[in-house]
Amino acid sequence: MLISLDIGSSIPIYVQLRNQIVTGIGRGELKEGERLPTVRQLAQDAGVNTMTVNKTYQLLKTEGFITVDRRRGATVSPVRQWDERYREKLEAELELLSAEARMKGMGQGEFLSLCEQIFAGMCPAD
Amino acid sequence: MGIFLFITFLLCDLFTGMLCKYVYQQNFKYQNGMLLGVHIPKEQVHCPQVEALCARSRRNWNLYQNIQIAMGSLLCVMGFFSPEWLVLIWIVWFLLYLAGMSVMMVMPLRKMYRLKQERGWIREKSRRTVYIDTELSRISGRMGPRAYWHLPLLAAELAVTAAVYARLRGQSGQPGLEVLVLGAAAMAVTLLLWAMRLYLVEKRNVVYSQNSKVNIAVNGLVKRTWARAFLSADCFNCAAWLYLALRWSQSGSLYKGDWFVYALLQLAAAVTAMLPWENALSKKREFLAADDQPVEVDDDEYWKNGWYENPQDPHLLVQNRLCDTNYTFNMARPVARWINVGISLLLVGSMGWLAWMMIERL
Repeated sequence: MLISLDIGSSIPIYVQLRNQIVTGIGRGELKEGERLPTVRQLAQDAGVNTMTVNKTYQLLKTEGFITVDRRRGATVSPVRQWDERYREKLEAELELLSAEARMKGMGQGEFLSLCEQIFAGMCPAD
Repeated sequence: MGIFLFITFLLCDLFTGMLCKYVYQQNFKYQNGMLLGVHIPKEQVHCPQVEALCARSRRNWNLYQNIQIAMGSLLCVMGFFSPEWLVLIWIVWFLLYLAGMSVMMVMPLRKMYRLKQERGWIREKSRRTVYIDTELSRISGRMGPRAYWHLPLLAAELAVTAAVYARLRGQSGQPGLEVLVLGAAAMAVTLLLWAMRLYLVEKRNVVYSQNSKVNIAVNGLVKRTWARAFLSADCFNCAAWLYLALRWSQSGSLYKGDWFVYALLQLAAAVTAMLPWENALSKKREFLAADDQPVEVDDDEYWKNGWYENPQDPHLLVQNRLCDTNYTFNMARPVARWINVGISLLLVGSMGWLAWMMIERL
């Protein structure tokens, strides 16, 4: 899987890394049980500090997308059932996206069609 | 002695000249989306100004190299008259040759970049993008022979140095000191090759394609070649010292033939380190030419002066885009500037010391 980082972006690198890894898992490009690169190697390849990658991995671990083992390193977690806390987070993010779409003049049908199209492209490998 | 010096310097000059001429000639071909070290759109390769610039640069390059190879070969004749003058003149010539070569590479790159700016061929987004291939990163540490293979060579050099020193210590003419110096030199070379292997083979990967298989193939090829080059060079370096130490131990002193064998083995170290690259580079070009999903990162802004200068890149050494097998400093890092200053001072200092010794003799 290819991760692309925009070093000129206002979005922090660790957030970009986190988002791309999550998208990769969602699309099935990173499969369940697949090992991620070591912190050191990923930091080398990205040209960032190891603490940035550590932060990314810790965030992904907290969110339940990966598990971190001292011997095996970071691996992609299996698909889990969502919980109430996740639903609240999703609602908040969708509310913001919906508000932006509405303010840009996008209709409900178009918005939902776009969501459906993108969601259909997600097929995390079990 | 004269014939020995003549042949050694002649071979060195011919080998260096031909190598430089061939390796840097690749910049005149459109490869990895670049011409003369600058990314330009494929459809602009046959633009009249681009073609004219490439033709002129290629002509000047070949002319310069041919003249320098001829000059370098001629000055070797000094070996028959005065070794000291030969060395001094050769150093001056070689430094001027390198300086001239840098100018011959940098000026066309700058002109091409200016042309690119004037024509608006810069892709803003790809300037700031860094690509990482997770599959490549994951297996990166397992490419090529392991670094610990240098350890037995280091151990052998240390053991032999200690044994021969113990045997020859106290003899007249201080051979013990010479044993220590040469033994330490052999071990220093091993440590340097080991450190370079650790740094270059385990450093950053380069993403060429959206296809992980291509990235793994190319990076694996380059890293394996480096690792094998360092290991084979170290083996010959170790063999050279072991041979000398054994002869020293057997006969108590060394003859010209022994030094000749030592020099040959050290030369073999350099040759075996460089030989695999021709094949590796041609395979690399094949892989990249066959790839239909190349990744384009336009970071010419950091190369526009002819050297790499990127304050946002934490790496000290990066792959030299004008020469696939070489690395260059990131001049935005203060350490890089200090190293260059240090090397320059060392060179000037050595030349000054040599000149002073020659004057003293006169």
